[in-house]
Amino acid sequence: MTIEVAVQQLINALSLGSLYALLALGLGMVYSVLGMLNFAYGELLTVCGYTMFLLILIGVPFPVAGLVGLGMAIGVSLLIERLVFRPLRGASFISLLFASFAASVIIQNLIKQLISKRPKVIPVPEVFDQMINIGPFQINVLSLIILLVGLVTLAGLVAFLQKTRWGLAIRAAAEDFEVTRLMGAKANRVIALSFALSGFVAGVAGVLWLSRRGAVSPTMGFIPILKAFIAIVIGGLGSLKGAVMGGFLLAFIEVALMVMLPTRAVPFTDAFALMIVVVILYMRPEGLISIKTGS
Amino acid sequence: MPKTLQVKKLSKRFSGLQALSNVNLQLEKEEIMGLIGPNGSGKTTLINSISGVLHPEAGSISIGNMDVTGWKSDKIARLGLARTFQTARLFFSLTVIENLELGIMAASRYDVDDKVDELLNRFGLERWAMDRAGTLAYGLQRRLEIARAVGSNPEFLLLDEPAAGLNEDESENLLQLIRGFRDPAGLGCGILIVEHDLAMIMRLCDRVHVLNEGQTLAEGSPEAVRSNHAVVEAYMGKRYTASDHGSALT
Repeated sequence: MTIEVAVQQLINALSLGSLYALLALGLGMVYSVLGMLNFAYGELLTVCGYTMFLLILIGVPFPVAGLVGLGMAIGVSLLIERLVFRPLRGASFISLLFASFAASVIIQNLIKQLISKRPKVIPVPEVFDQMINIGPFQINVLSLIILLVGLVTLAGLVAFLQKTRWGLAIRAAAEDFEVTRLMGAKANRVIALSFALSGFVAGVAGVLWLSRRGAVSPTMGFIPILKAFIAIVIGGLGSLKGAVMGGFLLAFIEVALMVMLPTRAVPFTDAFALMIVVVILYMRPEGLISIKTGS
Repeated sequence: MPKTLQVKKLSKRFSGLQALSNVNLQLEKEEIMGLIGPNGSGKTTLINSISGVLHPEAGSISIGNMDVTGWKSDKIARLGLARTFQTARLFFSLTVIENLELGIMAASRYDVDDKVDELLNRFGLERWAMDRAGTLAYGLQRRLEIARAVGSNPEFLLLDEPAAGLNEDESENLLQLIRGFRDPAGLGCGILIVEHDLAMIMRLCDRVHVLNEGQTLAEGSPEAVRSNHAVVEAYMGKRYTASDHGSALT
């Protein structure tokens, strides 16, 4: 492999990694605060995608449609918290899990009934497919955009979590919700904020995901939530830092496999990637970052 | 009129077990009350019920003229109640400063940075300010948990075995600190303290409340409780006679 190809693949891996890291952080944020997996998380990307689809259909420019899609993802995430999870506060893990599946199925079916069952193409700006030359390297513009947007969003979220009082409350709630309440932190607000941030991240990831795929479908949220779930399991369930690390690691594994596997085996990349994940979990059952020890 | 923390006819059941039964207790501001009793007598259940971690089946809890029975723990905390746990429950992945900030947030009327500096200084934690709480030695963790609890300037403070695992010097320091919280020039708060170190309880407390099998066995001054026959029996078993019990609880 030439150095040019290696650098291109590195950019690809970082680009995919920042996307997975965002997805994992959004899912992991709610998990670490509520101790519950929100399986309707993937549908936030779907909502973002269909909002963009409808807006682009009536002639709204792609970036504006992306911003409105992002806003919708935040709104629907807050709505899911208010209508589905808040009434069930204190319910068992299984009840919450089923409630989130129900929310997911309802959103999917609403889209099927109101818009279409079939995938729809979204025209993405042509510039996304172009290559630019940076020194001797030819880099795909979209990969670069995803990498930059992903890293800026991650940096913004980390700064919010590290530097603000609300961020501190979320990190505290992620570690011990009961004691955070005993500090007088308003539980409903901390939870709503974690859903809003989760929606924001899903929205950003949704715009980037769509830019790669160029199409929406009612079940398009499945693959992203699957990747996010694998990433947070690798990273260590409940650890926000672990979620980000897990996202990058999963992307590096996938890109490395795509490069190294013989052409005939490439369709099985996911299977090989999951085998590696199993090996990682066999060696570190609590994931890369254990929330018990914090290291 | 100063506030009072009042517990009336409180009962709590865990499936088959009656953890608390008809417990009455009244804690004034600027008062230190000891809560003692054999293991499983309901001391921690009482603290959990008062702080809103558990909800009692019967009875009431009020702070001042507010009936807080059934309130969520965050709302009770904002009314001026803070607590610590039997084994320190810190945010172990957060720094000492961040732990203190969280304690202060309940009473956001303070300038957080100034208050953090004051707490670091008062509790001798400056050297470890930027360390993660999980890396501190056990004695320091306990001290940090108490610092975090008083950071909100509570009117009532519930301490669950604060001296457990501390050496003699550390216990003595703790005792002085707790006296300072009661002092009207300091916090002026009412303190309910669960402790197995009976010598400490006898030295520190204005009144002592004794629980046994979820029921109040006795309440009164340390001297009165120390010479109470039923208390000695609950602690030491029936073999002890009246002549022994004067020294049994020292």
